[in-house]
Amino acid sequence: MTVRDPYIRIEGLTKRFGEVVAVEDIDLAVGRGEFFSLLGASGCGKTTLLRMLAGFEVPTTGEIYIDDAPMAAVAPHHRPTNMVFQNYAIFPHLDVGQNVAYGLRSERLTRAEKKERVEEALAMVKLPGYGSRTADALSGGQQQRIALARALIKRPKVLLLDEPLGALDKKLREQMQLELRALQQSLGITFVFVTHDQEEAMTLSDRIAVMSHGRVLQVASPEDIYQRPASIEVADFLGQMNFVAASVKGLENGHAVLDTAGLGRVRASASAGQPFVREGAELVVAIRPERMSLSPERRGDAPNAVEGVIRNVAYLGDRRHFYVAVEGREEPFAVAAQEAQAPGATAFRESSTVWLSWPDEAVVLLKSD
Amino acid sequence: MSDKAGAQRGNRPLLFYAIGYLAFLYIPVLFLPLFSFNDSIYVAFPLSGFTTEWYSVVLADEPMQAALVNSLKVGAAVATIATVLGIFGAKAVTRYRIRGQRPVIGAIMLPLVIPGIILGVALLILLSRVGVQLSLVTVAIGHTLICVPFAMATLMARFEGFDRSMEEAAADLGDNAWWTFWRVTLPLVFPGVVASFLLCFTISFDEFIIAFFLAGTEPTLPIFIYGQLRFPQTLPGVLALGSLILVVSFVVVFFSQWLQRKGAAGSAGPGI
Amino acid sequence: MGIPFAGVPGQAGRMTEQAAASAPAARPTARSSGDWLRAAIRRSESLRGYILLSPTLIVMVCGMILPLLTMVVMSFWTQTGFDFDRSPTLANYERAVDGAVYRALMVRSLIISGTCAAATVLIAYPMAYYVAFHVHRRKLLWIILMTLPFWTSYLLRVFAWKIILGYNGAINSGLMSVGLIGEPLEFLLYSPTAVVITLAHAWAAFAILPIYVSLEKIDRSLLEAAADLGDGPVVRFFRVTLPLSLPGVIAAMLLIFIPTVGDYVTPDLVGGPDGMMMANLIQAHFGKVNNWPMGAALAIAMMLVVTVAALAYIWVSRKAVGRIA
Repeated sequence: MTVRDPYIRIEGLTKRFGEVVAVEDIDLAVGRGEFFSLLGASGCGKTTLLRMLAGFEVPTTGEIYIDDAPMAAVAPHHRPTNMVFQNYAIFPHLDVGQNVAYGLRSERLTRAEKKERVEEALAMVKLPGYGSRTADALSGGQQQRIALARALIKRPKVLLLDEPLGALDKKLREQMQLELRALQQSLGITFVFVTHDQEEAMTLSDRIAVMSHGRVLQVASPEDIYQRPASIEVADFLGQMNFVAASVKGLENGHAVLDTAGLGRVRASASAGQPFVREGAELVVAIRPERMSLSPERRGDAPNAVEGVIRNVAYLGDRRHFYVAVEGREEPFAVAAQEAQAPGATAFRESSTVWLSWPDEAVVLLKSD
Repeated sequence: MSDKAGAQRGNRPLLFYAIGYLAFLYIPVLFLPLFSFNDSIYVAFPLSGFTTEWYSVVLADEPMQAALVNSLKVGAAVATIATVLGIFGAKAVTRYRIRGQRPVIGAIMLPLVIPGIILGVALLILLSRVGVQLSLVTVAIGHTLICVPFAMATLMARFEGFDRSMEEAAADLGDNAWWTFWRVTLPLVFPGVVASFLLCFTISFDEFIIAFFLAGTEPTLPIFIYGQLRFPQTLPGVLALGSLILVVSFVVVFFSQWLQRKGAAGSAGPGI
Repeated sequence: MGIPFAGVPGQAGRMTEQAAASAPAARPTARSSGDWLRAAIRRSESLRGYILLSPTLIVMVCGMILPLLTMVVMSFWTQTGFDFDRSPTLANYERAVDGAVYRALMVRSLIISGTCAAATVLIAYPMAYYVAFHVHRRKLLWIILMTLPFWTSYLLRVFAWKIILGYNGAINSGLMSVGLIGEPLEFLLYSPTAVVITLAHAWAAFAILPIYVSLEKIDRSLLEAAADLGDGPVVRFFRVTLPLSLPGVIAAMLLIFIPTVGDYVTPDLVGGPDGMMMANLIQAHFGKVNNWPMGAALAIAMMLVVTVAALAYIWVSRKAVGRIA
């Protein structure tokens, strides 16, 4: 999980705008050739962090190193980074070719070399021959590709992407995600990608930094972040999660046994080795809805099970969400069942009595706030 | 639907009012060309006959030509300086988070809320105390002060109209501040620059109140015209001159509006 | 089963260790003063902004403050022939406050400019309203049409009214030539009314544009909401449209009031003795009367009165807006 070859190092980085702290004391390392995402709700400081990497914002304190060189005194136009802007920032007074070739001014190329580089970059983003089009005749998706070609033609060491897919419709976005990932893998450039869309971050990234209120909450692979969130905040931000207050009753060979309000006695295998999981500790049990299953009768093999009544059913096409009320708890539990894997699911109607069950390893233990 | 019908009903009287209002605006102004073709030195009805004599008289009038050249010189200098200062100011206040931005903008816009005569008198006092000879230069100084707020306002609107990420993109792609300005900022604010230049030129060309105090022996065109208004025999010539100015300003305004509109249409495209 | 969770808190610690190991080599130890200045400029956005702003700000501040200060200083002097007695005295201000002529002219200036501003706004409002709400195509054409006369020479626009209102002017000679009157109507020209009409015409664009902009900005769904909640067109206008357009009206009033107070050309051309304003007197002190210190004192007095009047007007209209809202 550690970064063997840190290419970008961020140390104690803080940015204040007057009284407002946009980014607070962040330490991060991004590996060479890594697809790294900054994920968080709007106003969490992710864009400010990206703009500090590009050099548009100057850190209040702290330092950024790219390839071991400190960036504090380096102006944006001298940085080895290039950026794809959220609104693409396609120059309206230039045509597509001039837009893409914009950054080649300082490289002193011949006309032919320039043309070749532009064609190469346009081919890379699958818009060959678009050079002479006017900028305002482009669709959103095309503009996004031009912005990408314009940044990549500089052969940057780090490509910064500020919610580049946010303005596209869902279908196009999913297609661009695949292309972006493929492009990054073939070029081997380090990508730093800002998004508020957790699915997008999970699809694309090698690692994700989840941010909130200017701080980094957790840095890990998409799978680790989803399955083993480090805090209630992270667990809550990514997908749906059932939280139950619990107290630790005992620890036995790698398992923790807990008393909960609503789920009764719960056994947890994962994360039982955490230092805060001590006998008598008050903490929070978290279980993803898709890790819970329903059955009409108590399943004999289930180690954890509780009886409840279905309050609500939501049909989502590929899956169903059930909201199951249990005794001793006001808020119902969310249970997600794949339509294909739950053939009997249609039998579970509102107000039917069911049994909820889940495996030991589905239980995540989190420090309570 | 009923709302639309209501609007239609309300339309008629308001339309008549609008036409009447336009008549109020235009008829006085159109008296100038009307009497400029009248074959009489008295500006009165009934019209006595058609002539273009006054045009040839005024165009051959050397003091008038000198005053016109003076006004053109002052106007061009003022428009250039005020627009350049406006570009600096507008870029600074729209692109940087500046401490005390509101009072700073307020200070620059101050001439808008000070009656012109006060500025003219105050400048006259300062210049005479310092011992500066009154000339076209002093007129230009006074005009620059009243034009900068207009240049700033015009250019600020233009700077705010395009996303600052355009300039960031240029910097990101390797341009320093100088190149960014030439390759991105200036082309994008150019319609605003032209509009500001035309506006400042027009204001200076037309300005009388301040120029009256600050002009030395060389009059600007308004000062020349003001002098002519006192003598009945030169009146028809002034009317002819006024009509010519009228035609030229109409053409310039149409041109600048067309340019503004074109610029606005260009920047309203996708991607902004 | 392992302890997969342990990786998360440990990770940050390991990262910083690793970073610390390679950091010192890259950190610069000494900087020259030039570098320091450059770093300071890069670090402070405000500073960079002020550097860019400095030419404009210096020109404007020097161009406004220095002359005004000199004028204030001079207003305490006394004119002695063609020279000045520089011993400071309040005599000019005492004369300005006590002199019945000065007071009368100041009051008349305020009344004429105030009337003119109100009249201009009042007659421009329906016009702006028409274009904002009833013109759907060719809006720009209407806007150009409304503002075009404004772009012609101010002096000539004022003079045009002299042609119209004059003793032998268009109205008189026109009426006489069709036999409606035998003698020219003398009251038309050289009166405060002539000044108000002329100014209302000359400054029309300054009323139309702000009002039009404030009307155009009104969200049309607000009007629909008012209609939906039971307001007829007239009630709706007074409860929604008018209050929302008041900022434009207030701005227009000030934009016309302030410059017209300082106008001496219009009174000179069409005002006659009864239409003379404060500005004419100030101008005379720098010409025929040749008493610059007195003129300076009058100019400062006028500026103070105008400022107070404008601020009072803003205060009152804010209150009024607050009451309607």
